[in-house]
Amino acid sequence: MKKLAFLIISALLLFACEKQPEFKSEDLVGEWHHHSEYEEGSVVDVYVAFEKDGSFRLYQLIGEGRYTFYSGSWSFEGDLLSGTYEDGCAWASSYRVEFLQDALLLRCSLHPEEEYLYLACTIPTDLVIY
Amino acid sequence: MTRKSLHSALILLSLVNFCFTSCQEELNLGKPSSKLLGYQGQKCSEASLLLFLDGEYSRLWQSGDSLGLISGLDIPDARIQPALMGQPKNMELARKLGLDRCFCLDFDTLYPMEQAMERLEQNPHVEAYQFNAVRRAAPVGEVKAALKSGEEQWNLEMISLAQARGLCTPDPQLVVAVVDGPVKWDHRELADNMWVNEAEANGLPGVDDDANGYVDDVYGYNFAQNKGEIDWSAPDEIGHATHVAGIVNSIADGVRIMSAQVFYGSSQSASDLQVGNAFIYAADNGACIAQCSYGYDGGTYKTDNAYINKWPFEYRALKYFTDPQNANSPVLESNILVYAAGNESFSYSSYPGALPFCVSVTALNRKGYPATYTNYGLGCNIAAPGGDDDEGDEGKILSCGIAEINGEYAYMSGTSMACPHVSGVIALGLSYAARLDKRFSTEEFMALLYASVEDIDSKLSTAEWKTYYKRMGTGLIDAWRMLMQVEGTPSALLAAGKECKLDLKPYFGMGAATLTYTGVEVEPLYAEALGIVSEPVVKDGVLSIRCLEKGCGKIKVKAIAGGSVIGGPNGTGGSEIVREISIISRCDSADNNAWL
Repeated sequence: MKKLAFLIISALLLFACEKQPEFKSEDLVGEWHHHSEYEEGSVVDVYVAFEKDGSFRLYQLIGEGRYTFYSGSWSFEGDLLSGTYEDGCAWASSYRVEFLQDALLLRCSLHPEEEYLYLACTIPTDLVIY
Repeated sequence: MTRKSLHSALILLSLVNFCFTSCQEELNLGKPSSKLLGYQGQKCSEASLLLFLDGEYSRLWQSGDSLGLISGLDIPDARIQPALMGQPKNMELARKLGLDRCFCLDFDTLYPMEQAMERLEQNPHVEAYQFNAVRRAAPVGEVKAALKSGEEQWNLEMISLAQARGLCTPDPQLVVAVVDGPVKWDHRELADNMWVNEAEANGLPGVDDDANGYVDDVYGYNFAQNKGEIDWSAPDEIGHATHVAGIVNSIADGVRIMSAQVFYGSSQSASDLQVGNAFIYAADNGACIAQCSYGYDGGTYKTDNAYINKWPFEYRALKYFTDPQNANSPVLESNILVYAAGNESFSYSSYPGALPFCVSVTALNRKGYPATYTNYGLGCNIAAPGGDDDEGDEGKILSCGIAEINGEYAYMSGTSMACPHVSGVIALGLSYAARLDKRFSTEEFMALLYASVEDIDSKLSTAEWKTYYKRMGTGLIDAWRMLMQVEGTPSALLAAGKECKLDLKPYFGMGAATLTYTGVEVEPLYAEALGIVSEPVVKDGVLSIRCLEKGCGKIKVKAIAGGSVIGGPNGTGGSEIVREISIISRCDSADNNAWL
């Protein structure tokens, strides 16, 4: 009986520790939306599209006003996402990416306590941009 | 020959300047007076004074005992009437400002003014008095008729009007009072947009149908001749107010234009009484913007108090107009006064425009450089196209004319023409705010206005233009930027733990680098939330700030619109502007304020 229990438990552990699938750049390709609100009233609304060719488009509304458009290039290695804007500025941070069901969780690589959830979406065509 | 007299001498110049000058000799009154508001040797004309009486004497009038009042003043053949021509809607405010105790005293011109003043000095019921000084509109140069309408209007392109108009339809609920000569209300461009007093328009001639104290005031009121009819029949009428109204209309086509006529012709006079009542009328009848292309020669007054002491009745009327109790726009806390800075090429704005609560507008030529005539410097807040004569007619401003005088359309130039550009853009901004269901305090909206500019100073730092460098106001008014400011400005993304640089152009306009900044305020709540322990500093339009904590909060940055000092009772200067900036402090930030 003890032997049977040991075998069953071992089998269960074996399946539980099954290796996680590896994610590739293609898994990031698509359109994503982040939305958050801060205590003092600032709203952050960000749409980003990662393209197959390594370019990205970003539309951000931070606080008031209109969406500001940015573009540039991105890369993904291991689980690290990084990028550069077309104006030469580096991203604020590189991000550890966790792939979720129809979502991405981006954690600042140097400050993992700071994380942002992006949901899969279709970027609206009627965003009002500067 | 000085620059100013050169302009006066050249007949073909199309500069038009309304300036207040008195028309008679100075009075040397000898010993100083304790009740006279103004100063010794002040120019005046006619046998007319404005008195501020105490309650007892004021009540004599209110009780119907005018004879007793006159008898008490002891001036022969005197006639007296209340300075208030109508019944202010806000009588409580009028009383608070002392307007109800102000009376106009006229007497025989043969009676010496000195003796009249002596009687008033001795009368304990007279608290103060001032000269009911008169002003004359003083045109400079010739008004040129335009050949046709639809000609290029470079001035509208210069302020990005087309972009703005694509976004915003002017609000017909807004009323702009043109305090000036007569506005030709049946001009084809203006007729559909005139403010109409419906009660009077549909009422009986000769009857004060709406009981506002004015008879037949259909399109405004003619204070110059004390009648309802707006009258442009003066032989020397040049169409100044019609031109001004046309500029407002071309920018904010759809807002209502009210004619507060204080001049009849360009050589006639307007008294302090008439001008003051025009502002009270405008406030009481719905105007939220007073468009004022007039003023006293730049440099005549170099402190607020010097102006206030000379023109107390007008000053109090301006305070009545701008009091929050009389606000006529649902989106703004109080009404706005917009003034021409003046055409004397002087390094001060003229008054009343130089007052801190007025907007004073300088003029640019077609190339975007200061016009040869424009005042600049202390008290000047913002610039707009005013035209100049360096390129002939094409360098001037095209707007409405009076057909029988100078043509259906005419060219003019001056700060008189620059001023209505700002009035029109303000009207657009308020229209947009109403559409977005936004509301602003006066302080907030003025800050938005002064930030709605393109940079001028970057082209004025050369030797040729250095006189005007940092002295034309915050920049060139821009209609598109006005609407963007009304929409709101983005929060700043900063990196915690590092000194960050924040470009202030989004908050103070494209001229942010050359403004004078007076400080940065951080409320304790936000200082703690963001970990701001050292005072942020502004240099050349860039804010240096260090947030030790991640979080969010707000800071206030203060600057001066118009020079390097803030105006006040004892010195002309600019207006203080305060912008609130929302900050989000995170693990790190991109130099371009982008999110990722």
